[in-house]
Amino acid sequence: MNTENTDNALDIISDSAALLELSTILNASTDLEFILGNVLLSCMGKLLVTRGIVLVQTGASHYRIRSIKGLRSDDFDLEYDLPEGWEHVQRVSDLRTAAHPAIREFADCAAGCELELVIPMRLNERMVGVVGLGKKITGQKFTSADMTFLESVAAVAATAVKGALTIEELRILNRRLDTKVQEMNTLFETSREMNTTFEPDTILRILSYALMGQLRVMRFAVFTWDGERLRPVLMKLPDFDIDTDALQELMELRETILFSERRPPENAVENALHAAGIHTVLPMLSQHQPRGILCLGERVGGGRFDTLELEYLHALANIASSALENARLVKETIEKQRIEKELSVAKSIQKGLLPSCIPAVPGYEIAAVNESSQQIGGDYYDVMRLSEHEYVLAIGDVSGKGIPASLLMANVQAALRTISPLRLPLPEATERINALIYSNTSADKFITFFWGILDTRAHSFEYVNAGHNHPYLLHDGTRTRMLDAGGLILGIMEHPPPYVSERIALGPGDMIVTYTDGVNEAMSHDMEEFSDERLADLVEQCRTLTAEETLQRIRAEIVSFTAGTAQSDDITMLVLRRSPQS
Amino acid sequence: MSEFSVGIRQRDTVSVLDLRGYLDAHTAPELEKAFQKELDEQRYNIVVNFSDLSYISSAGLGVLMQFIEDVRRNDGDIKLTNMSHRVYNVFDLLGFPMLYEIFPEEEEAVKKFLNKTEKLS
Repeated sequence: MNTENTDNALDIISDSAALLELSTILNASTDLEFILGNVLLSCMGKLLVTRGIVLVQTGASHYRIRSIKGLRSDDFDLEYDLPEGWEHVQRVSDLRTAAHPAIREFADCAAGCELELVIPMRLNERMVGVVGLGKKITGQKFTSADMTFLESVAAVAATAVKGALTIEELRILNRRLDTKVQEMNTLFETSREMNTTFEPDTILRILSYALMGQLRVMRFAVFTWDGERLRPVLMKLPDFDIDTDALQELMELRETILFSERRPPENAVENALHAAGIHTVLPMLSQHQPRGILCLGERVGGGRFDTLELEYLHALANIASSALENARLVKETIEKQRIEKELSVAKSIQKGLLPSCIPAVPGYEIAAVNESSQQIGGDYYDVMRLSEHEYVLAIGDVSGKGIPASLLMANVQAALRTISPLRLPLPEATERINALIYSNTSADKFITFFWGILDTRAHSFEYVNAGHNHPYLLHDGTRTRMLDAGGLILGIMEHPPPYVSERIALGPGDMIVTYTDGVNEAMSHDMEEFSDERLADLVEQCRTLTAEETLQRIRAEIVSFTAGTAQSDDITMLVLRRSPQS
Repeated sequence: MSEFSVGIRQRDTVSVLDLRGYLDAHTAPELEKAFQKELDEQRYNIVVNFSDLSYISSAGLGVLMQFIEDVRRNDGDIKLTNMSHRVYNVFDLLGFPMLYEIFPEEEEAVKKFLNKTEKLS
């Protein structure tokens, strides 16, 4: 009896010393693995047990095995759901008949691994973990002193485990925060860099960096919608061999597809994408509008995207999409500005070529107008004095539009002004003008040209019509005829058939109405042409009007006919009339 | 851009890239050029020394990723050395330590390349 008491007392003293030592060691550490290992080894060493496990709490009633001795981890499940409610050491065999099915399930597993005892680690009335121990190697049963010792160890361990768990949790939170901060930095940087460039290639390069550097994705492709179809703008998928026609339906995509066993490809397109090594497909939205799709292959080093990474990916896709859309709009605006600039240059060239004021010709009236269309058609007219009683009148229409047309027009004017003072016969002068134009232009450029010389002394007008709309001659008070003598349009043949000229006499009140095709081909809202017939009738009604009145009359008719419809060609007229009194 | 620069040194058969300054999406093309130059000249033993790099964003890691396959296909490697804690943290957060060999000192990385070359010859 005495001896037994002494033994017990000695045991208690040595237990206390061991517990104190364990407590000191455990509380000096924040490393969970170290703490759990020490707890197990202390119990196993003291009680001569060969196997043991420790579970720690990972959620509300969720536990996970975090330390194993003398057993293989693949012998059993690592995670268990356990209810609260243990206070003391329990025999596994007793737990196998417990009321709670989750406890029974756990006990069955423990029994399968030949564990004998389970000891709850409790702190403030809550279980933070469970220690499980196998048999004693000696085959002896666990004594009540053993049980007391184990409960003391569990109590000492609980504090240390809770502390380590809290620190571990903080570490995980900290890392998650670091990751989030890092992602925010990348997004911020990506967005800044993408929005300071309007080069699609630069935007796509920045996107590539982010996919490779932030998400470890090396295989990817970007398709953007160009208004008609999805086109690949970035292709880093070596095995991609899908007809892009088949991809069009992906524009309907509003949510990310993550292929997996649970979400296998569901249709032909998805099958094709999956076969090309694509694991993730996401829509690229700009202002909630789909503008394209982003396809991603596997990650280097494996692993699925977690929630944070998916959020990041969505933001990245949308930032890139907006940047690409902005780049497209900027390019469009610049292109539009370039065209407008070109038109304004063409317009100023044209205005510069037209006479700023028409010389006064005694006994005659001259009126002229040029209204340039939106695209600058390249119409031209000119009036210049050759001598005291001779004047050159010309009207022409240059092929093409814009700056090229206006430059060709300048060419015509230079030729006319160089050649007409030479006083050559009109057919020969016309040939010379043709030769100059021909040598200065490509074969597809040409000019319809009507020109002549008014002699105010002889009251005659000699003209050549090189393929221009036939002008009207109103003379003898009642007769009207067309001025059609001449030859081929200028600039298409080096040696055209000889031009012919015609000299007509101008009586008092006789009038010549010249115009370009912008007049007879003026378009109404219903795409109807003003027409030669309508123009002929109209000119007929102008017989008693002055040159200026005639011009205004025709203009007014055209304005009312077109009723504001935008015209594709310039409207140009030059009217000459001998004053009735002269 | 003066905020980032790459110096290239040859140590035997090893190219050492010294990164300085601030490496982000804006300056990443500089590093890309440096790598491209090494690859064009068929130098595939590459050590990147980060000792003077004050900042790296994922774009910088993107450049490393872009070239690693090509380099390894040619029996070379890209080894990383002398990272500050701040720079290492970015690599660590993004899971790169499993993809690259990272050494505290340039010397060790160079030695590893040279030992390998010796064994082969």
